[in-house]
Amino acid sequence: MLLHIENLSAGYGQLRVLNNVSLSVGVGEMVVLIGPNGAGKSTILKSIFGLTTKMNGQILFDALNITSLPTHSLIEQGIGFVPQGRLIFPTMTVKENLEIGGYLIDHKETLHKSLDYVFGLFSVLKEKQQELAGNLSGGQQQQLAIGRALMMRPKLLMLDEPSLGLSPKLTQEVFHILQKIREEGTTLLIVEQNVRLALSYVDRGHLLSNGKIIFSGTAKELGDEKIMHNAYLS
Amino acid sequence: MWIIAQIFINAIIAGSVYALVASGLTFIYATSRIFHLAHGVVILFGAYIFHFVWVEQGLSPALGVLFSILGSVAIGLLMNELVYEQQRKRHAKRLAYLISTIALLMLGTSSIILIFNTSLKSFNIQTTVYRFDQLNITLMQIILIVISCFLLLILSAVVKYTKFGKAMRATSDNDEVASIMGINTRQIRRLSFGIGSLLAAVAGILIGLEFNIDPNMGVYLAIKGFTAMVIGGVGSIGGAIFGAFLVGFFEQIAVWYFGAGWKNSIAFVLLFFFLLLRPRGIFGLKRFR
Repeated sequence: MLLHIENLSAGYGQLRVLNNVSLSVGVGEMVVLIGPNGAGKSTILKSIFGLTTKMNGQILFDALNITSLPTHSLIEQGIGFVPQGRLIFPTMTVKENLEIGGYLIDHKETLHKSLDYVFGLFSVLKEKQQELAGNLSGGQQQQLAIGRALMMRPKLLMLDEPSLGLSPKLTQEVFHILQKIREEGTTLLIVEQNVRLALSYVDRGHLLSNGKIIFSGTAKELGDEKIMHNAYLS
Repeated sequence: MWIIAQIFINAIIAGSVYALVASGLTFIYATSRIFHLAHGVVILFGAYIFHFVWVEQGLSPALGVLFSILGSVAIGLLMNELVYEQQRKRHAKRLAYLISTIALLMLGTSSIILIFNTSLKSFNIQTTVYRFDQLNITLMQIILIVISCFLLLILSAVVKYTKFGKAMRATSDNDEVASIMGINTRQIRRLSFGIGSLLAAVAGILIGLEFNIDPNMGVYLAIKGFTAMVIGGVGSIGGAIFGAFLVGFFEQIAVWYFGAGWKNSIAFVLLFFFLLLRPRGIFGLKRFR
C-alpha cells in the first residue's frame, strides 16, 4: 500500500469533520472519493496534506508515519496536491507558476527536467509559458494547476474536484490527462462531484457521508444505483 | 519656463526618497497584507541613528550608515514578530492590524522624542552647487537620486528574477496556495519586513542629508508612502515608484504656488482624490480590497 489511513478523526479547530475514517490506496491505483456536499471528502485530502487538526488516527505513506509532518516534508516525501478552484498565481507567468511548483527543487537541472516533463504533458503550457497565468482559459488554468503539482514528480497526486467550473468537454479532457499521468506510474486520489465520469476512469472508490466511509468498492460496485441512492438521499 | 524645470528637478529629488518609502511599504503589504504605517518610525530611527553616530559621536559616516541600517532592520523585524505575527496567530482582522500599526507609529514617535528630544537635527553638509542658467542642483542631490535609483533597480531585479522574488510574488498572489507549494510564507514575510526596513533606513539617511530631521516627519512620510502606493495601485512596486514621483511633483507645485505650508497636506488631498475616484490606482489590476 502506498497510502494507508487508519481510524482518522480530523477537522478544523474544534470542529470535527471526519470520524474514524480508514482507507488505503495501492501503488499505481486511481481512487476516487465521492459523496454529498459536506461529507468530508476534501477534508481527507487536506488531512493527508497536513492542513487540518487531527484528533486521532494515523496516516502512513510508503510505510512512513506522516500524520504530523509539515507540508514541505510531505511534498519532499512525494505527495502532490491540486487544491480546489484552480488556484494558480494569476500575476505570474505560466513558467513562473511551474517554477513555484518546483520550489523545493534545489538543482537547476532537476528543475529543467521537471519543466520538460510537464511541457511534454501539456503542450499548451509550453506554447504560453511567457503569458500571465491569469489570462489563461479555465481549462488551461486547471492544466497549469495540475502541471504545477507534477513539478515535484510526486508518487501520489491528490486532486480536489478537478472538474469544478469546467464544461463537460473540458472535464473529459482533464480526465484524459489524469489517465495519462496514471499510465506513467503516478498514483491518483481524486475528489470528484461528477460521479459517473469519475467512475468510468478509476479502479476503486470510497463513498462518504457525514464524515464516515459508508461504502468502499470497485468502480463497478459503486455504480450500483441503490448504494448511491442511500448515500445521497439519506 | 525655468521654474517648471526647477520644480521638476525638486520633484525628482523628493520623489526618489518617497519611492524608497513606498516600495518598502509595498513589499511589506504584498506578503503580509498589512498597511504598515509604523514604517514612518522605522525611517525616523534610521535617520536619528545615523545623526547620532556621525554627528553626535563623531564617528565615521560609514559606521553611521551601518548602525542606521542595522537599527532600522531590527526595529522593523521586531514590530513584525512581536506584534503582527502574534496577531496573525490569533487570526486578527484587518482593522486590528491597522490599529496596532497606528499605535506603533505613536509609540515610536514618542520614543524618538524621549531618546533624542524634539530639537531639529541637521548635518550642515557643505556640497557643491551646480548652476545651469537659473537651475540649481547640488552634488548631494545628484548622489541622492543615484543611490535611490540604484537601489530600486536592484530591488526590481530581485523581485523579477530571483527565487525569493518569485516566492514573494506567489505569497502575494495567494499565501495559502504558496504554502501548499512548500514556501515558508512566514519566512517570506520576515524577509519582506527586513528589506522594507533596510530601504527605510536608506530613506532616513538621505532625508537627513538633504533636509533636516524632526520627530513629526515619520507620520508624514508614512502617509506620503501610503499615498504613493494607492496612486500607483496597491501591490505593484512599479506603480508605487511612479506614485512616489507624482506625490513629489504635486508637492513641489503646491510649495511653489501656494507656499511651503502646503507641502505636507498635498499628499492627503491626492490620497482623498484617488480613494474617491480611482481606488485601484493607475496601474492596479485588482480591486483595492
